[in-house]
Amino acid sequence: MDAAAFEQEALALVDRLYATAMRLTRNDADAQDLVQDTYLRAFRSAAQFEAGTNLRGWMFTILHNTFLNQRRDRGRNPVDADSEVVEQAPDDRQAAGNPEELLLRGTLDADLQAALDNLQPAYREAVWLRDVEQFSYEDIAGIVGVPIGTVMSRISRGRRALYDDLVARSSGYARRAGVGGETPARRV
Amino acid sequence: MESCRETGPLVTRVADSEATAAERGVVDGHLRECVACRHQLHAERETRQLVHDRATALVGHAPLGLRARCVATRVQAAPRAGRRLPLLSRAAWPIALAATLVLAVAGSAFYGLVVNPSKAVAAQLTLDHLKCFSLFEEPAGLSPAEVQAVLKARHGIDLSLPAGKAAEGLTLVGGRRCLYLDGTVAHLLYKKDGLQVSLFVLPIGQQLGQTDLDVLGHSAVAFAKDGRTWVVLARAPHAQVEAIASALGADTE
Repeated sequence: MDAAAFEQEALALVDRLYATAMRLTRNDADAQDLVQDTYLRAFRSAAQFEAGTNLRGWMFTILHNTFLNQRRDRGRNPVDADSEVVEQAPDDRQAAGNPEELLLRGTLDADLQAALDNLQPAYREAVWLRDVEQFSYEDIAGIVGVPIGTVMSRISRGRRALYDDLVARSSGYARRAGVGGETPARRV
Repeated sequence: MESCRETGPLVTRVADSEATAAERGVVDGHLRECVACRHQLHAERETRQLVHDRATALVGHAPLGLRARCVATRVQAAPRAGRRLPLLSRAAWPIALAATLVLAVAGSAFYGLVVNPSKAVAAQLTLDHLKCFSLFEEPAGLSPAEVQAVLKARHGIDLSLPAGKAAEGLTLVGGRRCLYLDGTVAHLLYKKDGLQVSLFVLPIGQQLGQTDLDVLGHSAVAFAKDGRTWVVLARAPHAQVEAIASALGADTE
């Protein structure tokens, strides 16, 4: 791939990389810096990219690794994406309520954003890469640098946590509106 | 019946419509007996569909200016023999790039092709002084202790910022990290009677061949303090900058 084509394809991903950076950093300024840093590294390493391979996956991998490096540089705790605590979190599927009665389609975008932001970082990234970016399990494993089984576990737990959060939000609206607890009070 | 733990990954594959017929058979058999996993499959399907349906809104658009910043990184990424340009934050790139081009032309004409390394560094610091004051100045002033703590926590720069007599008349209005000189440079922005004064603290091991430098209409004075090289720079007569540097240098003595 020539340099111009590489740049054009890479720069077409700005919106998606920024959205993912926002999910990782939850801060506009940090997300912008992260994306800028990602492009800087990508352009510096452009010669290492193999034409015909997955540029999107390659860029997301750089974004993920740059995020981890920035977190380490800032002296914070190592990002919990790699923490065993996440993997060992209790699986609470036995505590299921009666979600069939609740229509998540009525969820507001703002609620969905907030619920996504509430997820543990590793779960949020896995759900985002799978359900928004539509990466395969294998691609996600490559981007995040964990085994496929771990990716699937994170997706599963992340979706479930997201679902429970959204159900709780819907129930909260219903209670405040004086509506029966199992009927969503707000629908789009 | 398979256990929930064994079936879990298959439930996710079923929710994603990626399970094989055999896997689907295993899951179906398990779901007939397990209410919890039925709920799990329902939750995964609903959530997946919801997020997928809202993906466009969730992704949205990057802020104006970010694309320009990313495009500008091509320039910085291009291999060059010299030092790297500072990596500016947020909306600084278009302005910074313009300023760099204008001043680079002026600078090359001024210094010619053979550049004194100390003067080249001073010129780079001058560019940063100009750019940062136009972008990061906090007129209300900042607490030195707070800036000190942020520099240490976020960038690992451990500094003791001027206080007491040395800081007299100097108001701290900004602090940031600059990435060049093969390391991390702390840039503190001060105001003194309306004069913009920059204090750069170079990485350990970085020294300038000269201590008094006048570049691009600015005066710079370098001195050693706490094992590092400090550079005070302002658009003012050399003697005035030297007086500020003397006060700052005396702080630890």
